[in-house]
Amino acid sequence: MAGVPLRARIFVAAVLALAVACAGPSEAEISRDRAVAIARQQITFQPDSTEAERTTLNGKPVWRVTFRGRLPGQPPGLFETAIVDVDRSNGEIVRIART
Amino acid sequence: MKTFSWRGCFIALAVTVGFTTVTFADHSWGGYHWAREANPFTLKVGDNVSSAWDAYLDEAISDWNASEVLELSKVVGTTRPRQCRATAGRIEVCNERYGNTGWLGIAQIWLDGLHITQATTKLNDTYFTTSTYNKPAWRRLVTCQEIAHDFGLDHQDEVFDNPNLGSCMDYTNNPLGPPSNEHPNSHDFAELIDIYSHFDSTTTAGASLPKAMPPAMGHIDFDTPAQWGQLVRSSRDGRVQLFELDFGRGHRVVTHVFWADPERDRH
Repeated sequence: MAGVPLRARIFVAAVLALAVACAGPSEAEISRDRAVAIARQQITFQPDSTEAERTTLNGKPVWRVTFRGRLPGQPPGLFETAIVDVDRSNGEIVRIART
Repeated sequence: MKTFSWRGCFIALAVTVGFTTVTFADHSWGGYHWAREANPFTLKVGDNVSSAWDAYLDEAISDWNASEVLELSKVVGTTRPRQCRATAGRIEVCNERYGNTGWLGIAQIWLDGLHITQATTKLNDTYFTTSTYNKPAWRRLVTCQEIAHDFGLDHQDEVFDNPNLGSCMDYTNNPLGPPSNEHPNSHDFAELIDIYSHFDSTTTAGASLPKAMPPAMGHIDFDTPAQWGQLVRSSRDGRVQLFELDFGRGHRVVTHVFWADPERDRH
């Protein structure tokens, strides 16, 4: 170590640190219940059914939570649908679809 | 004896008007909005609809262009209607027989925090070719409503069998009314002003998608401690230190420094 210049040592350390940071820490996945709770805040109707599946969106792991329900006076054959994609690593909402 | 006060009267009126405005305009969809640095901002609307829908799409665009904060601009679509794939920075509108899905139309927005980065609207011909919904009033209502979801408006009301509010953002069993729910109303335009009254430091309307890694992360001068960010950990003797430069949204650069001690290292 003694023979290596200070600047070189700092540079190597910084590059190693950048590689680690860009690789990202392995984060725990949020639970299905947590994903449903996060997604539930995005809808205004009382769901009759709730589904959650693990999938990916543009390569990003997400929980896809689908709610369906009936609204007062809604015509026969129609029902309210909301699909919320929740980032499995941090719980952020990355996409929503609604009728 | 109390005298009539014009000043007091004016203040009372101003407060009343202020509260009235706040009370009416409250149907933002979760605060989601297109990031932009000025108003009015232009939002491209990709036309992927068949000739049966062209007039309705044109009408909806014209209706919403009465807003003082946004300018919708119809452009040639870039997707097959069946897939209705999104394009960064704009809205794609499609029609197709999507099946008995339960919905006449569905809007989808992609998010980066509160910012909409791309959006789609699908209009379901499975229903619009039936005698119940194959009517101009239903086509107008649904087109008007779904593209408005794509720029951050929610429903004004979600009860189908109550009196119409005169807005396409109001669910109804009778779009013709009266009043008609085929077009936006003044509350919709007031809400758009509320949603877009602030400015952002970035733009997502008309922009490409945010990269997974912020570009600034690739432009750090690691030789300069001033760019390493905050010192978050240090060994007792200060020779091993950890700096963190936070770019937000989980993007950060960690710089681990082993400080040289020439005197000690010499031995």
